[in-house]
Amino acid sequence: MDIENELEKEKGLISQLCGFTIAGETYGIPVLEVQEVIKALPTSPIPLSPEFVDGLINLRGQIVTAINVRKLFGIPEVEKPKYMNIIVKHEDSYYSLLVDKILDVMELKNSNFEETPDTLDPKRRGFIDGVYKMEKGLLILIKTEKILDF
Amino acid sequence: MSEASDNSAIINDFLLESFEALGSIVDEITMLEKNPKDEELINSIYRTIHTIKGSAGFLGFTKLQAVAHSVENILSLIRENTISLNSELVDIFYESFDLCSNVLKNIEANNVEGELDSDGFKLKLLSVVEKSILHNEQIINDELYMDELRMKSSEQIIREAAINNDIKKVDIKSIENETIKNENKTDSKKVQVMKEDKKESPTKKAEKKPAKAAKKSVSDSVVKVNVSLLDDIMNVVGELVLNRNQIMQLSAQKDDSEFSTLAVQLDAITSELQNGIMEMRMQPVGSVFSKFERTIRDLARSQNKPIQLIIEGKETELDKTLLEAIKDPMTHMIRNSVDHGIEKPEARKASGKMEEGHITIKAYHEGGQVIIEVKDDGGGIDPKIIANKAIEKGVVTEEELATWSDKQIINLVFNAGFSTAEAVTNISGRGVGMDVVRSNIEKIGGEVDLTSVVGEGSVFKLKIPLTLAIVPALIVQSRQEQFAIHQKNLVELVLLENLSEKESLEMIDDQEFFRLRGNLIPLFRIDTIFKLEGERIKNSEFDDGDSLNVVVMQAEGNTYGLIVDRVLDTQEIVVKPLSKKLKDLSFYAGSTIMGDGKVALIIDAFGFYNFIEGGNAKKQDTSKKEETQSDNYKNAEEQEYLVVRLGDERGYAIPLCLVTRLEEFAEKDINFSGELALIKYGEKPMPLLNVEKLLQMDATKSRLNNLDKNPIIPTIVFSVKGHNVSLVVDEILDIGVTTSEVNTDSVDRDGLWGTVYINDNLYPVIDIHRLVEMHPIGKNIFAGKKKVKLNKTILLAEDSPVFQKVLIELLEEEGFDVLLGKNGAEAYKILETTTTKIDLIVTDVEMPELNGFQFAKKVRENEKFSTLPIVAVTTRVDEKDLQKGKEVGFTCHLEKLNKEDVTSHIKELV
Repeated sequence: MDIENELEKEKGLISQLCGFTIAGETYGIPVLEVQEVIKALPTSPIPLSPEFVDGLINLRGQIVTAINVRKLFGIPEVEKPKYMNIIVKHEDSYYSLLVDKILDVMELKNSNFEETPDTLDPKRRGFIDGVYKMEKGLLILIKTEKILDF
Repeated sequence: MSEASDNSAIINDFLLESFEALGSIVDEITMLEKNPKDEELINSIYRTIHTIKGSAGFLGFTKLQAVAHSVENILSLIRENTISLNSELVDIFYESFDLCSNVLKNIEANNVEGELDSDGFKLKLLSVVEKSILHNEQIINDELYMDELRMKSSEQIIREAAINNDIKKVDIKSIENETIKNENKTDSKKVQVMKEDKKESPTKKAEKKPAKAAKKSVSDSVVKVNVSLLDDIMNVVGELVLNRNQIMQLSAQKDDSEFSTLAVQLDAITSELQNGIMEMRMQPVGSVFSKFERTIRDLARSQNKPIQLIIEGKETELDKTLLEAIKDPMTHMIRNSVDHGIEKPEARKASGKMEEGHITIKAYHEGGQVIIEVKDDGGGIDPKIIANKAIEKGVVTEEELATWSDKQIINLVFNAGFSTAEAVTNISGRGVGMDVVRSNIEKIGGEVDLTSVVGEGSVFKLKIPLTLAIVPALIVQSRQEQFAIHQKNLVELVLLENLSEKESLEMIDDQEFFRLRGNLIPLFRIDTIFKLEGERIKNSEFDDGDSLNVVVMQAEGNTYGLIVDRVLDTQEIVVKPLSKKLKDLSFYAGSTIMGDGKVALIIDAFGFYNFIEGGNAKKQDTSKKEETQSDNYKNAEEQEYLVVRLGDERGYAIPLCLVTRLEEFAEKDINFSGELALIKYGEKPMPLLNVEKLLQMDATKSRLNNLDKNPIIPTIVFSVKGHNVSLVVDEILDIGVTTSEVNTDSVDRDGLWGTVYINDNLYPVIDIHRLVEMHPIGKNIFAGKKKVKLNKTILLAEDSPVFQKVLIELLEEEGFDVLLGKNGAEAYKILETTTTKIDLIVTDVEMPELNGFQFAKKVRENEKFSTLPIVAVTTRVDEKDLQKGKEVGFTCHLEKLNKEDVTSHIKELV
């Protein structure tokens, strides 16, 4: 089984994604895009920045711009939100995607990949590349570039 | 795997060396064109090309080798005086170097030489050489003519060989051997060089050695370092600075003296390291400027305008990254000058100028920045033309333009989408140029502006910060957020107290203002503008909210005040740029990490101002309000004092206008001559005075006697009769402003001038000049100059005792006799009643009874004195004041503190 798996990975038939949840739904971005995953850190807000820009984080001396993905998706926040940070790098700057919960690295077969269903709300569609069918439910594949395109 | 990397290491070294070599011979050819007979230059170029040829051959880059070889041949001919350098040859040299450069670039990118018609190029070379020989007036002896023929025959061989691809390479080699043989016959001088040629392939090293041996002596003391390594170290030092800030903050909180000492030492060491790193990255601008010689040469030739480039200050150093960044903008500005600035020679002649145009590039350090001026003596820029174009393009409206000065109008050329070139040339491009130039300069934290006089020429002035990354900043807090403001934009900090009682704030059209020494300054509240949440932060337990902290800032001539909750500290911060996605937020200049690890945003003074002004499109009609106020001109003058603490734990005041600088010195830099403490300042040793001793207080309390406890001492540097002297104090406390006068009765010892009230505290005022007089060195300083009596009398009208002293001393130094009037009315009385002939009047502007304007008016009204020169001196020279001064009859209007300016004007007028 394992060897088969490895072979399939080699052939590019399996995608490795960093999975996370926001408001109960499961999402993922390619593992290779992820620098690191880290707990909530103090954020300094940036006055007059777009609403979904949560602020700046000091990550061991590097300035990281935090993006509140929930707000980006138009999902209302909870009372006392607690987020995890997924740190990605884009065009020489570091960004953090604020998500509810981080899941394991997920290996999904490309054969289970499908185009974005029409039923998905328009607000999120722009950021989504497609969905993977899992044993239980769907994993929504996020295009990181689109999230950082503001 | 390692083999491949070894190979590419050699090729990388080859590329590095060759690029550098090419760079230097391009410069040398430019110089050679100006001094065609300079043998050393020729030899140097020859050696360099020879090395390139050799290395290329060794690595199998035969095409490169061929081109280099041909160039080498031509150089030989020049060396032998067979042909002399002319502009066509210089052109062909440039072409060949460009060709080599392209090949090198191809090797860098693709590991192969790529397409290169080396044979075709050789033909071109040969034909140019031919022409040169034919045009040469020198005697061409038979042998050399035979040489030419032989070269021609090799030409033919090349042509034939070109037909047959396979043997092309081989044939070229044999042709080269032929030419080698041919050259061998001519001159025995060249034998040694040729021998090396022949041994080319097997003994590569032997060839390289001579060239290298020559270089060795220079390269011994120099190390080549990769720029990325310097960048990395710079980053690490940046982190160290942050860490040091955190430690300093901690040390200030803890009461551990051992820790404090260590922290202070860390501070000193880090500062030194910082300076060292900065110095490492500094390169003389000359390295970039000399490239412009070629740019100008090419441009000038293509346009048939003779132009000379003058470079001044090429040793001025600038950080390497910044130097790289200004290359393109400067090229563009130079192109602009050549294209649009310098007129055609006929036009120049017609207007009486020299046919040859001049472009001057000048670089120098000033005030923590590097200033670069690009000046041309061309036709200048006509503000009217610019204004019309601007209105045409909808960049400004006619009404707005009406209030603008010529300089402001001319600087419109930096606006996007602006181009006045009637024919858009491909040299200066289409109006995309100047605005890109400006944004590129601003990106690195610099500024650029343009001044021009029609018919005389234009000057581009670039101001570049010395370093990018680590800047001094003021930290302020508003609500829960901290912000940093670059010190260069800071004017001053003002505390507006007792707001409910005094009328400090004024409202005009919904915009708050406050008055700063007569000027209306707009106020902006950070918490409102940034929509900050939370409660206002109190400054202390006594803070009842009835006061405002105002940070007065200035950006591009716009002064405004920012209201913050608290002013915290000044710190050196590391600027971290904001993510590109946030670039729209132009009011931020970046972010930084504070001592406590939190992130603070850096406010961009100019961006902020623009943002506000853009939002408040209403026009503030402040001009009318100003008019009515100016008649009630402030008659009470404000005096600034530096408040310090001495060893006796008491506070003392020193008139700020006498202070040159505040410095901190470290124990290790202090040397002793007898009992006199000295420190190196500029080129000379500067004495450090023990103030406590001179004032006959407990001398042991002076910092000078406690260097072991505290190795870093604060001092106040000032200048006495051209000598720098510094007073050692215990601590520099504050700067205070007061309108009250110094009371000279209340002193009990020499060296104190009197007492003054500053903010309800009484301070003794230190008489710096007297202290120096009392000190042994005073004898040397004051003995120096003899007074030369001019037998001219100056009437001085000045109310402030400090300035009375300063000005009287200044004028008497120059040999004048001075009559003093303590205000305008008194001075006028003296003028009317005195029997001595008054040759000139020096008057202060802000005086009680009769102020400077009123005084001058009165003087002019009296027929006897209508032509008497009146020199007005003031602490601030302001456009409106200048205008008013002219109206009332000031002959000139100067800044008090600029002693040289004042004395030179006075001497001229008398």
